[in-house]
Amino acid sequence: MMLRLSVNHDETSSDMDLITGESRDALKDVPFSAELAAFAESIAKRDEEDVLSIFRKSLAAASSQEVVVDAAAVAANFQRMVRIADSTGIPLDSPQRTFSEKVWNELKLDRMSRAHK
Amino acid sequence: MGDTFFDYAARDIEIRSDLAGCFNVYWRQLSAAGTWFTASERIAIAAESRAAFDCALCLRRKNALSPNSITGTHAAVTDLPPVVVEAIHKVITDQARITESYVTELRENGLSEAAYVELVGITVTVFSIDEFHRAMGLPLEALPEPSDTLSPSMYSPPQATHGTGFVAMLPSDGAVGNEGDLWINRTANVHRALSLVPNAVREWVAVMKAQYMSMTDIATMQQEFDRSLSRAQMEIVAARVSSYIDCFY
Repeated sequence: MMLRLSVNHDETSSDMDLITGESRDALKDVPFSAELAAFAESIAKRDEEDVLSIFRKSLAAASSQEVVVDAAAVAANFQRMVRIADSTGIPLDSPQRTFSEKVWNELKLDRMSRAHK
Repeated sequence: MGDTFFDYAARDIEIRSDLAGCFNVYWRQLSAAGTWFTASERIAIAAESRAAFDCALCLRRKNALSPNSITGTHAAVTDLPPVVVEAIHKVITDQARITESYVTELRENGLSEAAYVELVGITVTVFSIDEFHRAMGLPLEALPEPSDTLSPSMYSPPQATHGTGFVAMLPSDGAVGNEGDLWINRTANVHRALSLVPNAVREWVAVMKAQYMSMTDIATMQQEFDRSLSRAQMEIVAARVSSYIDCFY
């Protein structure tokens, strides 16, 4: 949801398929979007270092060491955030809930059996 | 304990100094007595969080349709009580299937709701620092030694109430009195989630500010940061991680 708000704020076109990993070409207007998504996915999948390092180097080659550091930090942050949310069972906040319905439908999250609103 | 940890310069790797700084602050907090756990216990929780992915029982449960049908013993690396080990490993390896009845069961087995909240705070904050190291191809930082032998404070904010999630938390407008520094006016549920243990919120929010952005920047849709990534780029990473581990909060 924050991605949609961010790209709208920038007047950049958005394709929510990038979130679900179904389109590496989505968000073409955002620099290094494909490399960032691939690196993030490798972190989330807990790939071994020999695989993870490929995506880290790919991102570094496309951008810079600073980008790699910042991307690693954001990915690590959300490994924590999702666990806080799930461990405490918090619901979506009210303004978020209305907006999430639209994003939910666009991402076709109903097909994911473990997804919960 | 000085800033003797997270010395990235000594490893000849360029990493923002605010990241090393906040990690050092957190390591110092981790090494001291908390609200419901002693310093030794807090560090043991951190150690146990690192062992969770190597636990055969957790792996079998993760792959099972009904994790509760899988019995056995966790591959613990500490002498923490089994119910504490169970909670730590679950938060790390299978958090998407934590339910209110699961938290109730922990309580019935001796892990109080407030202690569970502190446990979650330690587990996830250490995990996020460890994940940063793993993402960067760095070895995990050595855990600190206990810095005191004090008893936990057992502080409980009087305004915490049930009704939002599995545990009691401050109302959205409940950051008052001793908790007046937690947020201004109202805030999001994720910010409130661990507020039954106010220091747990203070600790993870400080780490988040360096790893991602401040709660204020999130709320105001701040677009300009002292970072190499734009807000949209950050959210691509955040969305990809959250999606992969089944969190649609």
